[in-house]
Amino acid sequence: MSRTISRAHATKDCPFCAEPIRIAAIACRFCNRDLPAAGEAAVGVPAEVEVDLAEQPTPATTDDRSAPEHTLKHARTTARRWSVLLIATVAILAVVGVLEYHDWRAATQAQQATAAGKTVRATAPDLVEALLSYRHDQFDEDLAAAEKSMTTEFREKYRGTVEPIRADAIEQRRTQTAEVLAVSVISQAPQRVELLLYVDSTSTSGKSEDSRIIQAVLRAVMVTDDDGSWRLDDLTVPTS
Amino acid sequence: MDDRRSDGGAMSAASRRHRPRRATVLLTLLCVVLVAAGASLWLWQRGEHRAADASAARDREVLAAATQEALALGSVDYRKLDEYVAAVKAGATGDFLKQFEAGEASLTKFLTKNKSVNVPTIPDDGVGLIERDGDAARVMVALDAVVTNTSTSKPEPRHYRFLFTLQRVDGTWLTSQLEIL
Repeated sequence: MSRTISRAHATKDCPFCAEPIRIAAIACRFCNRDLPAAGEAAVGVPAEVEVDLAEQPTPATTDDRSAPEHTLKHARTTARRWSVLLIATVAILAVVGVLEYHDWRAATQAQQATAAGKTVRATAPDLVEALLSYRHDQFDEDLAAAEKSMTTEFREKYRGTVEPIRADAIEQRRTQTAEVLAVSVISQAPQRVELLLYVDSTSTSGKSEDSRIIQAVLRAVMVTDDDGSWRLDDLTVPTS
Repeated sequence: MDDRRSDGGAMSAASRRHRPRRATVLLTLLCVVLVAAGASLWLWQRGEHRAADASAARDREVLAAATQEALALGSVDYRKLDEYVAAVKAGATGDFLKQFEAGEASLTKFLTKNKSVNVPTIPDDGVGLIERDGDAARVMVALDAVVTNTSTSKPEPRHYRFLFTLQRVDGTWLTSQLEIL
């Protein structure tokens, strides 16, 4: 069975992608390849062409609605692929970012702890020597000066233990000089450092003129606030 | 415009064909570069983290070695002096080993004569690291001991303030110098 249709609507299959295209087309609208032979052939094509309907799709199926649909479908496929690629990239970068933050934080804290340990080890001996050194005739002034380097909590704790020392110092007209022989780090964190100190305190009584040396092992805890200054938070004797 | 082009567009077929492929290739390359850059940065940061962990582990090794040698020195028993000498030497090297070996005979004779027995303990927070630089380190160890000998009527407490200098020899930290402050 055959029918006659105009050359404008006659179609053929694209030799590259096999999509139905018009006979007069010089380029395929689906695969975008050039069809030079189609243009030359179009010159000799009569205005009307008899086609076998068994082979030709009806004009209704070859109208302009199929081309935009195919192009739209191709565009959607491409967009979907790009979306998957972008989402996968963002997901990978997010995981890598979390892992990197974890490692960066750990390494940074370790560096800050080491720096804190070095700083405190250099400054704590003077502070401890000032705290443990006094003269009987200026005991309160010496204590007040030492308390400036204490945290509030330790100051309260220390005041509760210093009264017997004060009474003895005044009674015996005692002078005590402390010397830190060695200092080391027990533990260190960015804002807290524990120290082990060997301290010799030479105590001289003006009343009895006796002198004694106390060889002590002390554990000191130093902490820092946001202002960067280190303060004494605890001072004890390590016990077994 | 050529009416024989079925889509009626003004651009060339070649340019329309290449543009989507070029964009896809560029986008893919960009994604690969971003992921590679992120992974490289993470690997570098991970290396820093592992270096910090390795340094902390090395510190712990040094402290453990000094602690062990302090306990060996403090664990005196006149009935087991061979074990005592062997334990001290096992953790010693350099000048400290030479000095210990030079005085070994007189020391064992003294301990035997006095029937010395020392039971050592290290107090909590009694060990601290002064510094570690490469394969050298200095450590403080405070040692308490209960001492019994012929000159004491009952066990007496003693307190020792050790300062160890250690060297890493064939992967093992050994005491090369000892000061008692």
